[in-house]
Amino acid sequence: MTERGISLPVIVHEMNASLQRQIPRGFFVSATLAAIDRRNRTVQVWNGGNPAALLVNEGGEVVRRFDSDHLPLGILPPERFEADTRIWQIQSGQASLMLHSDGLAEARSPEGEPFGEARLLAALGQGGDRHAAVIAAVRNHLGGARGHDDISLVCVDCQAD
Amino acid sequence: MQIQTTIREDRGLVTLTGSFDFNAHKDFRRACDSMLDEPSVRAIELNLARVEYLDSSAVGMLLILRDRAEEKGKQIILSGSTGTVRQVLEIANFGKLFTVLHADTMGHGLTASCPCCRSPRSFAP
Repeated sequence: MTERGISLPVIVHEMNASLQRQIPRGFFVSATLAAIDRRNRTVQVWNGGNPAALLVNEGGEVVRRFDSDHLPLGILPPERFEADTRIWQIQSGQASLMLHSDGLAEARSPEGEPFGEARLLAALGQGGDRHAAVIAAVRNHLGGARGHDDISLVCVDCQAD
Repeated sequence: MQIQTTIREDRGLVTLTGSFDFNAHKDFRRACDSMLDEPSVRAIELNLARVEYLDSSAVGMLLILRDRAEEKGKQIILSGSTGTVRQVLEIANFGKLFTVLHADTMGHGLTASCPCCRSPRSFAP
């Protein structure tokens, strides 16, 4: 659908309808969808059930949060599904969009403490390769233990072409 | 997880204590069946105040309960969630599907978010 230039709301509506038809009751898919328009410098996000997607500037500061404001996919029938998105105009010179799974925020140290958003923000502020900095911080926090849930991190460069 | 059930007039109260995860599946189903099968019960309130942990299988159990309750014309209320459990329900935007009641800090009365418009409503204790 993306190759055919179909808009994000239509794509997410279709994904929900397809999942709702196919997956058993009680199952759902938390999802974050983002459309980055490098020419117009906009970021458009649909987040249903995931931690906030973060737009981060060069200095590693969060300039915009895209919190979950929808139910996860696969729950609502098409006529009740909400496909509205949030659009942000990127102003700073360089920006990255960071998406992460709840398994990353909940990754526990051997003492049982979750990694949490505060540590994530601290790792982002370190500069350099942000993806590597966050992964290193999570590994360090886990202290050799394995996470109990998938730990996923996506960083997308949103610089203008 | 421990589960206690009480029926008071047309309200069924299910009080959950401990970790709400896949291991609770059978007991949860049994407790809900007793409420769903009782004709006098019009609303089932799940009190989560003593639930420390809620995972995605528990979220799934709530969704299935909601479907079954809808088939029987009964309402599901989630009350008393705090901490990480409350966060899980908020990130999932469950206020759009369930009536969610939060105990206020004084323990007096409850505020609810209306499922259709999210505006706050107050209830007398």
